[in-house]
Amino acid sequence: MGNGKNKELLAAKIIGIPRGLSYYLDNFSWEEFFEILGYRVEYSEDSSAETFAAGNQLAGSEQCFPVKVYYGHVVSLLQKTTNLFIPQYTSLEQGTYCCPKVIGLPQLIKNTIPQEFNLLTAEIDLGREKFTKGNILSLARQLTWNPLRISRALTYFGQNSKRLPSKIPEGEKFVGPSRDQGKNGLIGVVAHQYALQDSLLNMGIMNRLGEYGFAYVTSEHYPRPESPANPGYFNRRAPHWDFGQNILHAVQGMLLDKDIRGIIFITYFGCGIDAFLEEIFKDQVCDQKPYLGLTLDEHSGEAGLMTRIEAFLDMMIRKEGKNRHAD
Amino acid sequence: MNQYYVGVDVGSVSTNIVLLDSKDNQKLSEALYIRTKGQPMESLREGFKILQDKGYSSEDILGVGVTGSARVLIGHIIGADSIKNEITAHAVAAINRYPQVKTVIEIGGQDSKMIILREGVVVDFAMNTICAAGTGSFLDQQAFRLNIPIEEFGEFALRTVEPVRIAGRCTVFAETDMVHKQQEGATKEQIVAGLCEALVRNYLNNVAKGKSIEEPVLFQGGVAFNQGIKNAFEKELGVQLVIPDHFNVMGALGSAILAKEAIHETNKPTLFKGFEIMQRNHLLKRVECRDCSNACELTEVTVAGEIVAKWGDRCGKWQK
Repeated sequence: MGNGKNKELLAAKIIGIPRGLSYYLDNFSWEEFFEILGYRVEYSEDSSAETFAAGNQLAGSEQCFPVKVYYGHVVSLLQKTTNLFIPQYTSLEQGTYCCPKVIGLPQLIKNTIPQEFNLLTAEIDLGREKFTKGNILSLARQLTWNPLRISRALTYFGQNSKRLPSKIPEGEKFVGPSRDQGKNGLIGVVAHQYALQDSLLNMGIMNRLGEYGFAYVTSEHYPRPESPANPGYFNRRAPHWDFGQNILHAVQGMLLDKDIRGIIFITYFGCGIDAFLEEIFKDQVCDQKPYLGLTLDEHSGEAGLMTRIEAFLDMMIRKEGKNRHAD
Repeated sequence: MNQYYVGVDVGSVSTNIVLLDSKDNQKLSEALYIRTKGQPMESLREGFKILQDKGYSSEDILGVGVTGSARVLIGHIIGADSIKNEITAHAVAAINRYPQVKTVIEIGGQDSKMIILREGVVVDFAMNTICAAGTGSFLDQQAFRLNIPIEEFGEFALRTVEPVRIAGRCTVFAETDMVHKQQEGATKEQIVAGLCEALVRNYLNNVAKGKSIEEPVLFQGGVAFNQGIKNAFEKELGVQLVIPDHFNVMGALGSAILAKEAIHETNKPTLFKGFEIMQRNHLLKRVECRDCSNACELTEVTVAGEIVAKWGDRCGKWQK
């Protein structure tokens, strides 16, 4: 590849983006970026049992559930196009890092999927602007000769790539999202972004909350502060990982948020980041608000999961009832 | 004439049924403990038959509550007024028997739980996550392997003062360890006592981790019958465990109380279809829904060729 010499890639004019992991970071619209360069973007379908089954055959057994599902997205996309874009996010800000599986994703996929395909990637380290810009430039050069398009795409990246996901409206940043309290109250759901967005990964937990008369807000609604700061609440050093920091800040926000009655933390077996956070939460959250940690993987039985969620919600409903009788 | 609330707990190892006197929350008129043997429907039919034979009539039932791993299935079939998870049911029963309870240790067939209560309210709970080494089925299997009736398992453990140390992290490893220890000359008694300690260690490491265990501590579930386990817990925790009467049907008792609550709340007559319903032939089938790529596994119940219930879907279209 390089310098637009790959005829196949250039001819197809289509680039596939798997919908998993970094896709949900939401910090930048790759679709528009590639459109400027003259390419149409194809996405993979919603995750389903089939996606997982396809991915599980190729992913190593030590991979976490979300990575296995990502493999499935790659496999299904390869039926549409042989050009895949898998960005290599290493860091979202200076001093913190993405999880090792996300960092190694492009190489991991390229070396374990038997089918031949064109891997497009670029290392993105938002703490190192020049370095990242250089990588984006070489990515753009692989896709077109046209210097005008390249420079426009580069400008687009410079202006639009953001350090943090910032879909949250300005007014909500401090007081928390505007909310409907539900019949029984509001629950905070904490998880990595890809887990919150993908209902295969979160096993439809949020819908269940609704069935029991609870409304919910997710950790996405509690962004990190503008400048990297230690979450003072937990009285400890900020974790080394971007995603971990997001989660820690979200939980801090939820603990201080009077409307939130309980917190559910969804995590996956084998997640090194969450393993540390879980210990902190078990230690420090339980005393203050009802807390439920759910560790999921592809073997998670619906029955056991529902028993836990039901019991957790019952605990809050019955507590309220008891308080009512006491008055 | 007496009237009753029925509580049913259909678990993996046992199916329990209680009749709670409608006037007195403390009075259990019947408490049945029946081995499920992998057939929840059969064991419930057997239980209902016993109640009918004793002269209880469906007309005297004011409400029915169901809990246990087969609660949804059974609840659909018999017409339950309350279908609740085991944790809530056990907590409610514990409070009923022992209002000042602060910790509940419950070890059932398939899972083990710890419930933390303060002032009659559940404030925290935990369940075993990945492994069955801390549950009743594990003991059941090992008792079978050692050729000891499960009822005598606890006594065996009491006959020795020197339990051998057995790896309790995983049932497969535990079994390897047991065989090894047997070959090294350990007695059956020492092995049984070692297993009890392994189960308790496993429970405390997995389920009770990070929980503040305060007295009074109630020990309930079928495994509470096992004196060896009780002793191992007391040794490890340094507290006395209270074993409530009816410890083995606490889940059923809790669901009877929950049924009573549900009936009082809605003020409607019970949905119970009668003890006779179990005499009809319910045909159960697992079917895969092919309507979308999620391929949910559904449970379908047919009576006389007619589908009476279907559930297990993520989207909810079959449950209506």
